[in-house]
Amino acid sequence: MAEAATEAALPHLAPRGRGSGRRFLSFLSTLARRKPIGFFGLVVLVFMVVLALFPRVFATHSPAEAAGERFLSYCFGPSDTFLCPTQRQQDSLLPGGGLVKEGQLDAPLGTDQLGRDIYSRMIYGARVAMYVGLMAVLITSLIALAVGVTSAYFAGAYDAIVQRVVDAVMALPPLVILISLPTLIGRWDLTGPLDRVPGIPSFLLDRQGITNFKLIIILGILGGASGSRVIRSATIGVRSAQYVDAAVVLGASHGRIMIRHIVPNIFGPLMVQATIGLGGVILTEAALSFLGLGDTSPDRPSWGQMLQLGASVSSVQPMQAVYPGLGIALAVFSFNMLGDALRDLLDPRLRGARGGFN
Amino acid sequence: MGQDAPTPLAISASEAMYQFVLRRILLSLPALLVVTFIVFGMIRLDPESVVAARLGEGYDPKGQAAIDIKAQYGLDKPFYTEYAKYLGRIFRGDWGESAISFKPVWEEMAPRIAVTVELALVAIFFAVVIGVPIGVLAAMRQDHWPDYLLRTVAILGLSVPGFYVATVVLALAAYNVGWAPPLGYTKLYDNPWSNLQQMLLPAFILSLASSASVMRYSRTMMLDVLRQDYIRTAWAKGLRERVVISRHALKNALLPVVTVIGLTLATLVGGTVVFEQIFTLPGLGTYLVYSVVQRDFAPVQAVTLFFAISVVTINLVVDVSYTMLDPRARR
Repeated sequence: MAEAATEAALPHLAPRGRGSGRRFLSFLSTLARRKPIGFFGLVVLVFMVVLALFPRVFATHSPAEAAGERFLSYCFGPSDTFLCPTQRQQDSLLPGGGLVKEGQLDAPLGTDQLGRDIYSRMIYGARVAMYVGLMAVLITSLIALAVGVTSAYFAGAYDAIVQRVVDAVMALPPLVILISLPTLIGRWDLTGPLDRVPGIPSFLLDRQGITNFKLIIILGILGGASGSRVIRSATIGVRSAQYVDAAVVLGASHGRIMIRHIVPNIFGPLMVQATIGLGGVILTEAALSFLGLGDTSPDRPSWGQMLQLGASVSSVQPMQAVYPGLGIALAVFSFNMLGDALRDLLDPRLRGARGGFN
Repeated sequence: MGQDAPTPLAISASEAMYQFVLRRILLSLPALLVVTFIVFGMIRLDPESVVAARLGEGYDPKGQAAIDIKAQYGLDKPFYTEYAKYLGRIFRGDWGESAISFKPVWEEMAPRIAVTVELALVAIFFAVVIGVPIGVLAAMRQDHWPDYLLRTVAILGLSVPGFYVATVVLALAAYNVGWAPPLGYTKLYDNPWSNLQQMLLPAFILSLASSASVMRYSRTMMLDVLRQDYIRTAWAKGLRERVVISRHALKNALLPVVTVIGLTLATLVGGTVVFEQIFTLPGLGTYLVYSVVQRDFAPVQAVTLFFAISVVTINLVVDVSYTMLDPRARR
């Protein structure tokens, strides 16, 4: 009782974890109530993350091999469907590894011209999209924070110089750089210490050639430049706030002011930037793979690469090109909608009277 | 001192504009310098890969052939002298030599620039012609069904990748009608009609995403303007909707859209690469992809630099033209 009273009167004394958890839940319910399409985007995001983390739970076959052994040993649906095929169907899938039409045998979406199950490749494609998307956005956000916050905080000559570099990086068209740069650093092996960690999934490793890892780093840096502009203007907005002046008076160091006082208050724009950036990164990676210039390892099928493969047999099996395109479109649509919704809810100028995560 | 001498505070509007334009041009110079440095530095990230591209992976790193190639690309000398030389060569129009055709890169690029520029301009034309009227219409019927419908379509247009639409359209056309885009490229001044036939479909599909963003932006700007007092005055005078929209609102609403059109043009630059590839147009994008696949690095550098310089220039032109168009921005 006494605790509750203290909490109400002096919110800053409330236990940290419980309060932020509850606020997060209330934010989720606000999102679902006021921005249903944005909430749908969040659901898609969570679903794709789950697909990316546990592809073997959903996929029925290996994405890389034709007529590969089924690796689904347990069932998720009614028997005699693709979710739980009978032994006969398991044995009869793709004996020679050719094109299988949709719904035949136990390939619900058919197989591609190399006999690989399209359904399973779609699942693994989500893994590639989420891996590239989330990692690139993480790098983008870190760079945007480091560059944007310091640039606005220190201002002056430092700001002027940094902004000219940002101008230049922003002038580089991402797709053009993604086409030209990876071949030039194709011989690099950026795996580093990850290589020595036992049990690390192979898709995280960067071998020689054009790998998702290299694409992530390039995408992250290119995105970081434009992201830093948004963060910079957000920082300028809070830099002259009274609580920052108060922190200066208390003798807080520059680093402490930036990390403890400024960064938490530009969290909203950062999240919006990251969510909308996620869709863009997935689109760019798909375009690159569509040109055949992405990561072409068979065990990391990208939706863009599948689209290209499907386009080449579109006169025989037109649907093969449709599925991966739907995957890309769903992802980009959902993340754009989520980003729009977050902007409406988190932007103080657009925020309504109720709700809010800040 | 006569009485006519202007006081320092009263700078004329046009003078302020020239100052702004001049400052804006000066600001884009460092950006161009950094861009050239990045493009120049790309090839030096891994000098061995340049040699390996020409001699194959199993080359002898100490052999004469490897040393010659390094000398040809200036990889054996420090970067600052080479960068100065690179800048000099770029200004003189010497953008390197292709290792495949042994022709100057600029000679191979020049005819392709026209194709890419035409594709981008036709796409921008479509984006404006589709995006602006729809955006204005959506704003006029805000929160009624035309608005909802058009906004949903716009968001779909933004989300569905253009290269996917192009692939599906080509596949359907080939499957149902037996139509395929004409092979081989006709120059605009050889046969304008057959050239346009080749350009219209890719440009239209390329423009879908841009139309959507132009539409969304026009709508926002129009909504903003429609809430202002002078529009209410126009209504109060009893003017018809057509006059209020076309004579009063449009001019102010569409000024900022100019900015978005410029920015869209800059993002289209990346899109042209994919579309040239799908529709086999001999533009800069096809050249870039071909050169990357051939591991011919001089054209790769040259095309990248050209695209980056174009973006800087477009941004500059957008900012300057906006200042010239909007008297309020001159202050």
